[in-house]
Amino acid sequence: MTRFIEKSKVDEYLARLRQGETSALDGLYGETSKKLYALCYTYMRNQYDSEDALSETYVRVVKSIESYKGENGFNWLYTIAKNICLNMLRDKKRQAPTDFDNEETVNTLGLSYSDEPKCSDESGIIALSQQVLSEKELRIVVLHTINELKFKEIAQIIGGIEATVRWCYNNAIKKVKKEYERRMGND
Amino acid sequence: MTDKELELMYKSSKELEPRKELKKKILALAIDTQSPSKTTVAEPKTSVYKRLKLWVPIAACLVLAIIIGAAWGLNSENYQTVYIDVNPSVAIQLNRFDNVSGVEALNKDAQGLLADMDLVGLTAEEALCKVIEAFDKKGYLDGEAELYISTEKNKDTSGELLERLKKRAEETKGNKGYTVNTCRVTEEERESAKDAGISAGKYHVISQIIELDSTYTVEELKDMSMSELKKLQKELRK
Repeated sequence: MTRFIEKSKVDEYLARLRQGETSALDGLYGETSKKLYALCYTYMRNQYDSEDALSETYVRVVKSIESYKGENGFNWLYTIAKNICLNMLRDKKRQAPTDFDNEETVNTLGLSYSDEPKCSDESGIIALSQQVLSEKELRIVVLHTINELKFKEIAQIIGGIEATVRWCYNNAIKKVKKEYERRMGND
Repeated sequence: MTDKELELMYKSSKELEPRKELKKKILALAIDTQSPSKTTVAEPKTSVYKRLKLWVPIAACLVLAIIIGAAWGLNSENYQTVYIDVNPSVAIQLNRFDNVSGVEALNKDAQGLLADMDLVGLTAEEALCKVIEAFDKKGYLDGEAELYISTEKNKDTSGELLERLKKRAEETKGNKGYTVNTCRVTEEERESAKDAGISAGKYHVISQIIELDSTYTVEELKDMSMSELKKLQKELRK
């Protein structure tokens, strides 16, 4: 039930933004930033690039608001974020590796970051998942658990069939559980 | 720990939350881009003749380079893949002329078989015959074995190619007891098969089994031979 309310709220904010109401951007950010950041993180795999991708997503939303068709706002946002991440990864491949030796680096938003994302969560389940799962598996797990998407919706976003997504998810959960229990046993 | 408990750990995780100070900066950046300038600078007018004089030689060079590149590329590129499965699983890459441009062993059984074989440059039919003969010599096609030949669904010529390969496989088989099966696989199946480390043809059959009984997983079924998979499929259909 919450998900439907959330989705129509997103459509409402996007419709207002389309009419030139910039104040709607604030509400849209509040409603969507966590989920879009989580998606970006599964592609970029670090805080620095995920923040850049998130920022570029909202810039692109504003620039191309005319192409928003008035429904499925969340899917539209997911597609934009996904494409931005894929482009950024492509650009990164083309560029020579950057020297990150300096202690403090600043991203394009002018915010500093340390190489390792700061983990405020005690369980560190994402950090653990990142170590044992493939990029695709981590994406499926994050979209299903944190973003609360159904397997069918995930298949539409990342491409593929529902059965494969479900299988990948179950497989990934097994892997994480095994590693988690192994570490707990060692402790 | 149960799956539900693990899901809850993900849900309550604070690791994937954007920093609070981001909001202000992102919103300012997005709003800045909202009013694009519509002023354009008029292009200086150039005559059509001058433009052509510049572009014709460039275009001619480009066309020539494309033709040379295409002729060379068409012969060596991997245009489509044919999968042959019994228990050994083999992937044969073909160029646009249906000649073999590469071969890959997809499991341990196939590695041994392909070690002494050079299939590159052969036609798809010739390569298929060589692979079938090798399977037969090692006894993989004894009794009621199931031979699967699969091509890619999204390639224009794959339907016709599959027909030709099936015909050739039936001719090679003669009166032996094994069965020749064919199927066409989708791009998604190819991707998923790659992730699972098996051939796309085998993945196609495994997906059909999982559709019949979702308690099975690819991991459980991937080491079974094609005849075992077919038997299981038949039982589930009863």
